[in-house]
Amino acid sequence: MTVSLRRALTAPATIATYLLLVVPLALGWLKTSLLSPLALPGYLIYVIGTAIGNVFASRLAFWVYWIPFFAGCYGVAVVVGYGYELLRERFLTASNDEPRR
Amino acid sequence: MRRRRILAAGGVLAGTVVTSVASRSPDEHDLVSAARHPGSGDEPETNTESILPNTDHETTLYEIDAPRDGPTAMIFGGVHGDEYNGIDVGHEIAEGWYPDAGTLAVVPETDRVAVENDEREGIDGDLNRHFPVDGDPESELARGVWEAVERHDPDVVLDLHRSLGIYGVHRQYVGQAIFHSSDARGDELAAALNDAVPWYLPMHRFVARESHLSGPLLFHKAARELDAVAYLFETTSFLFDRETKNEMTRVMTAALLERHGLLEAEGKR
Ligand SMILES: [Zn+2]
Repeated sequence: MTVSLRRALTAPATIATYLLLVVPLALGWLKTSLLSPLALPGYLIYVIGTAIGNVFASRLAFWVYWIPFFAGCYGVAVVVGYGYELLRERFLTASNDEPRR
Repeated sequence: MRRRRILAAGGVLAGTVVTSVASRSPDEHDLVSAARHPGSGDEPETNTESILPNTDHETTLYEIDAPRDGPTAMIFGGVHGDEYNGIDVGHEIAEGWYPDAGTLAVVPETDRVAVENDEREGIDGDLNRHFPVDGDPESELARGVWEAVERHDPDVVLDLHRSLGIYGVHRQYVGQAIFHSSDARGDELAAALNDAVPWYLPMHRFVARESHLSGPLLFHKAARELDAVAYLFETTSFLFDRETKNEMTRVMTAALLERHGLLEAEGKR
């Protein structure tokens, strides 16, 4: 009853989470009017990331932060995907344990 | 199965991207469109004059006289040459805004050399540091600009700027803020602007801050020496493109003209 790292890296929940964090904000970067409520999670991660980075490297241009943003969002997505797969595993095991009728 | 789920997730994302950041509350939208349409009665009269004619700094001041008497407002764009929102909106005002009362003077390219070089600073450096507390403006351009300000003796001054980050979030930046003199309507204007900021961009909400006016900035000097109600407006480049910054700047300008008696909302005409 474990989830391999490999499975967590490519799980559908991981990829869906990653797209949700990255795509809506990236669209807004292309054109501000494309920002939507879906951009909020990515927006918060990006703003907080730039705020922290800005304390240490105040002269760094904000576009540079897209690189750690893409990486960081993948990290968040893997955690979500891992959790989701773990829950699914448990659920499946639990239902398999039920006696057959 | 896996591929289908991923495609479905992508489809959900693509399908929901329909709202616009520049969408505004009806009220503030009305103000911008009120500014763009002449009211009933006589058309305003526009005159132009030159600041520092026959010098490198020569730039145009547009004076729009409304048919009815009222206060005088002065608006500056391009005090920093690479802050397009003030320059773009300054030109829009000069070409097609119609105050209902009073006089609207606008200088879209205040530091014209800086504007042409697409740089923050012009020949003598940062124009917005040339208005010290004790004494005269510190450069030829600053003296020319100040002469024009004294000549028009404005009741209200608005200086339009753009920051790179967000006030209170990014230490050295002051984006989406209104700095103002003590008698100004800063909080009201911030509230009006925040109607144009979507709820899902919470850090982009405008803040109003009363300024101590003891600095060498143009709006400081206008408040100190002419008792003008003075504002410095900052939108931000942080995640905002040129059109969005311009829209924030338009809304600010129209809301300010309305609050200070130069403009009537469309319904009230
Ligand atoms: Zn500026």
